[in-house]
Amino acid sequence: MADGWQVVSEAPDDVYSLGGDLKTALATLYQMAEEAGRDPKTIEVNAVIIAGTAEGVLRDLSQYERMGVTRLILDFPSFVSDPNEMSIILEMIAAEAPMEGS
Amino acid sequence: MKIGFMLPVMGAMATQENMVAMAQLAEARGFESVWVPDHVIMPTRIVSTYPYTKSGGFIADPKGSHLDPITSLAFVAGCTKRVRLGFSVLVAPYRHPVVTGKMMATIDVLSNGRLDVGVGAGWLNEEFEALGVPTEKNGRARKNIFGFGKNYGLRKSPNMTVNIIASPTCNTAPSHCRSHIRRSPLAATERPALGG
Repeated sequence: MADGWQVVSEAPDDVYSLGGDLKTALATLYQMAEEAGRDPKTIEVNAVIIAGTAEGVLRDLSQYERMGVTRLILDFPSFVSDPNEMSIILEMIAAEAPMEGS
Repeated sequence: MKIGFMLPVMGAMATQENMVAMAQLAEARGFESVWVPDHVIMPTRIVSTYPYTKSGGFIADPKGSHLDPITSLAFVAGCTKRVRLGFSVLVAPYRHPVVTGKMMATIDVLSNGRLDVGVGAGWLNEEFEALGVPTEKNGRARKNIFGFGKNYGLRKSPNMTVNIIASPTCNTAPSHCRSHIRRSPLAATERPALGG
């Protein structure tokens, strides 16, 4: 029924309480897709990550991609309470990260 | 990789000026999408464990403002032209599925098909209680997810027109929607399907 699946992640090796890591969870997802007659490659995988710093996001980007994540959604913790601070983080990421769909 | 970000719908940054500025920054700087979380009522004291951090603590300040996600995205649809608009995620049991589907279809039409809808079962028990939605019937979330999709054609492919409505005498057009639903493949477990 769904087009994709979404996880929330504090770090590439810590994908909330799945009872396993993302690699294991994706294997389960792909198996379920195949059993349902769907091509696993067509299922989008979103990861919501905490964007405390631009450096942290840029550092982890390729690791998420290798794990099979197709879209990152940057969330900002409550200590980012200044729009200028949020803009600076986003501008730094936009300048450095290869982005699809822009 | 596609990269999007959450709009400032919660806390001190939840203002009209900041919403416009961040949405337009997304368009100008090549971000693929902007997203909003779903909270209707934010309890000032949260006992429920947030299931998506190690500490179990919610990452937002519960005492700040929290804008309605659906009207917020409708607003952002009107001040952007390219970025995709997403819910990350709508908590299915909070609203009637047909009413929700109607709003989703409307945003999708008014944004020229830029809507992505993430759907989850929710986690914040205090919010369920405030809304009068029984938390012990979390299975209801899944029924609503399926009802939502059934009524509005949110199935495998986009552009699907579905005419299944609560009453055959009702006209609920637009009844097509090019949005997506996201839910957990682990929904058979007792944990919440997705963050909300």
